[in-house]
Amino acid sequence: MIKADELAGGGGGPTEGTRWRSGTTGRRRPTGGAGLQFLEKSALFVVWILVVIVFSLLKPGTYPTLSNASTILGSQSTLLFLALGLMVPLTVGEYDLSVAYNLVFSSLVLARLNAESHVNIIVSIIVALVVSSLIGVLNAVLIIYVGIDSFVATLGTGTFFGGMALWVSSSNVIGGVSNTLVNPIVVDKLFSIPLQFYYGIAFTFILWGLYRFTSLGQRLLFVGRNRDVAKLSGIRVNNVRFWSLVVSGLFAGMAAVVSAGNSGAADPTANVSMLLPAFAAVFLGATTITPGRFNPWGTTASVYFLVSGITGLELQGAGTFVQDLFYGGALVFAVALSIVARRRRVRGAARAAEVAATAGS
Amino acid sequence: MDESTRAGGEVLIGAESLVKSFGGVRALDRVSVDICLGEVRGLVGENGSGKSTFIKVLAGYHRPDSGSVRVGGELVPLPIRLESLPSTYIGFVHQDLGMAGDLSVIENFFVRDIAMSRHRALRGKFVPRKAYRQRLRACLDRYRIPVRDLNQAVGELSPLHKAMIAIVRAVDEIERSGAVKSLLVLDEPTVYLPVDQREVLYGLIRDVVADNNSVLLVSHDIDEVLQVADTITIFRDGKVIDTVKSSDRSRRDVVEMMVGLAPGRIETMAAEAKSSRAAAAAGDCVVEMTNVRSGAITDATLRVHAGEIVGLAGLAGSGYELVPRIVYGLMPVMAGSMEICRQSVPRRYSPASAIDRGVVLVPRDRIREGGVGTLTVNENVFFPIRSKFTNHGLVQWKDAWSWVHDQLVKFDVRPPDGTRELSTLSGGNQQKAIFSKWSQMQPKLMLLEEPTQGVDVGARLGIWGFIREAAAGGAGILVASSDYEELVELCDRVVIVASGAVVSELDRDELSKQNILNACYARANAERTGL
Repeated sequence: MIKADELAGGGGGPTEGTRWRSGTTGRRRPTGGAGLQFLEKSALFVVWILVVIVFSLLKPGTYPTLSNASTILGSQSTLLFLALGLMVPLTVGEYDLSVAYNLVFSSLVLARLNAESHVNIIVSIIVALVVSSLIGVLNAVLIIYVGIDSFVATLGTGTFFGGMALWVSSSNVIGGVSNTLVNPIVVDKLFSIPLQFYYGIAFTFILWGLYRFTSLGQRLLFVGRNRDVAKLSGIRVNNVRFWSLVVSGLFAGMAAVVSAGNSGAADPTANVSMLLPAFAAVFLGATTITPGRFNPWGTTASVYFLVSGITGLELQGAGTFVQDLFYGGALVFAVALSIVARRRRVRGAARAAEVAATAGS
Repeated sequence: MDESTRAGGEVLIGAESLVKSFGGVRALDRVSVDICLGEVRGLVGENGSGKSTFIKVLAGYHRPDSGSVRVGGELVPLPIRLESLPSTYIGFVHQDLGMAGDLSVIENFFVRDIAMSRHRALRGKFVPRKAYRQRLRACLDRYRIPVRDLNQAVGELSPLHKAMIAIVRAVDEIERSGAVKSLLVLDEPTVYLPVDQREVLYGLIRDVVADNNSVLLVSHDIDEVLQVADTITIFRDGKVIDTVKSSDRSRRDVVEMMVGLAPGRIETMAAEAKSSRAAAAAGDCVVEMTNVRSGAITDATLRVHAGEIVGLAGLAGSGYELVPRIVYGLMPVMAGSMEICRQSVPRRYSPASAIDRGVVLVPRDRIREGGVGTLTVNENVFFPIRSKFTNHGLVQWKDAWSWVHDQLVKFDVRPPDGTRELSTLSGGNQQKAIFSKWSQMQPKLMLLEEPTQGVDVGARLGIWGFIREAAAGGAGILVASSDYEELVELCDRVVIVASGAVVSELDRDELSKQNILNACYARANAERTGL
């Protein structure tokens, strides 16, 4: 199975495995200096600004307005939580395809407890988070202790819980979630933006801190890039893999809470529309800020970049199919871009190292 | 310059004044090499000396900036197109052997036929299984390769048989091509083979030449080249220094030409390094194994003291290379006892707890186990010491990077630029970086596996120096190596493993390549006669 990290442009390439001994592959053109690197890191933001400008010019009355900005920023936290959670196992080299189904199942648990069985909302939230984490634990057990490939295992558990969601809800939307949850998610606003936006940003900030400033980020990275090296370097690799899957389960649960609060209801068929956008955002995020690596701010920026474009196209009168075009296209584009960029980086670096080594000896 | 070879016979491939530059650096500087029909030509040189570039020109991978190549006397257009050479075939066997481990012997053997069936004689709409089977069987018999099951996955074969099949495959491709004359290029074919098995491969190379092929053998191992090659071409700094007859030259001559040192200088360097740690005081015992059983190891008893360098040697399959892995907690101890620094290891002993006890392992396989090629040198070196630079849970990156930079300078990693990806360094420099990764922790016990495998002479001397330094600093060192010269150079004593058991030990005054080899074979022979 292809490792997720290789798709993000982290591994593979001509550097590992089959290659010539002392790598004299070379191109005459030296690699880009700081300028080109900066462009690579900020390309997503440049395109984002261009998208906003173009749609503002096309729909000056509706696109560049406060209410539109508020909608764009205040409606995506479910996807953002899902993507942030997904990023963790992907960094460790495991797929988690069950996150979207986990989200739907957990939100149904929450809605049924709260709206139908009238359980206190706080208790319902806690139960939903526990359920989603347990699905993560189940994935981890299947992947690590049974040894099923993560792609297959999570595809299976995900579909299973998707089916469970349809079953327990009889395929009906369960509405009537308490306003105690709805208000702080979507009704209450700060600077005209629903509070859910700030929750997403807060968790991005936390993950960023963990990735950037603690050695935990390094541990995740090493396990994702090469398990043998990580193991020989004293990492308890299976622990790291285990917890990464529990984290993605927990984040799917948080996404479920946000989702239930956002609409006051749980929709058992929402999973279909969530899985691919989450992957697209994580992979697109890996092309920016720290290219070649999954990173929290890149993921968050990608979520909002993608929805900016989709909203613009929908205002232009495009149908809902535009979402699929955009997310699917973005996923493939992001991965392709990473691979091309990586190839260029490796060549350049190999050349430069060779020159330096030759000059030094 | 090389009259001996000029007079040697018909020139098969003649390269004249090849020049190839990369970004201002001349990888090939007016290189002229004539390879004659029916000879084994050795090609030696340090990393970056131009020998790889030269081979890549032959492979048609590079187009030289200037110069010409004649094949069988005819000028050929450059870059070389292998499929349109005048009645000559050039076959290549690279270090990684180009075998798909999951596929069977027969599939690997005919992989090029299967890939481009229209170019080959044995063609048809369907894969001609029976014809393949017969042809492969005949080849294996002809070169006496004891592989019975043609449907066995190549990954299950021993490294020796894998290498032999890769070479024979190239030879057979030459024959199937219908070419009259041929050159077989072997690029470090023995790197992953234990010493005692290399002989078998040398025999195979001689057989191949006897069948009217020429062989170009690229190798780091100068003894190997001296033994197998008829003539040796020495590369240094992109130039051909000389082409000599191997029977006329000693190992020292060749090394000196490769490194470009004045005669006698290498020996002085080695002697200086050796004398600097002449007194290996027997310090405290850092590891003691008593009748340990684990995996293929049935009975291992050995001790390593602080400040001591102990070697581990054995034939392939003896299990000598497993001993460091047991000490590092990668294999569970099933019976017997193991103490690290006078403390028994706990039930759930793992690399993490080994590291806590001051034990480190520098693994054999740089790319797969040593470091992560796609992460930066900084991150790789920093990884095991991350807790040292973590304050209140936050990593002090600035301090960490400057510390790592000092390590790279100290261990002579070129270039000492930590922001590069590890894979972009040369093999020797990768190994030095990985060595620094573990040395910086000031371990009490260093476990080394083939510490200088596949690195050039300069880096090798450097790494030996670091090992001696670590021992002088009080570390106990246990080094498993199939390179007996390395063991003789480095070790205070060498422990011999045969059939999973520690069987004997050679003290410093008994150490020689021959003695180690004899000791390794002693048990094996005894067993054979015992039967």
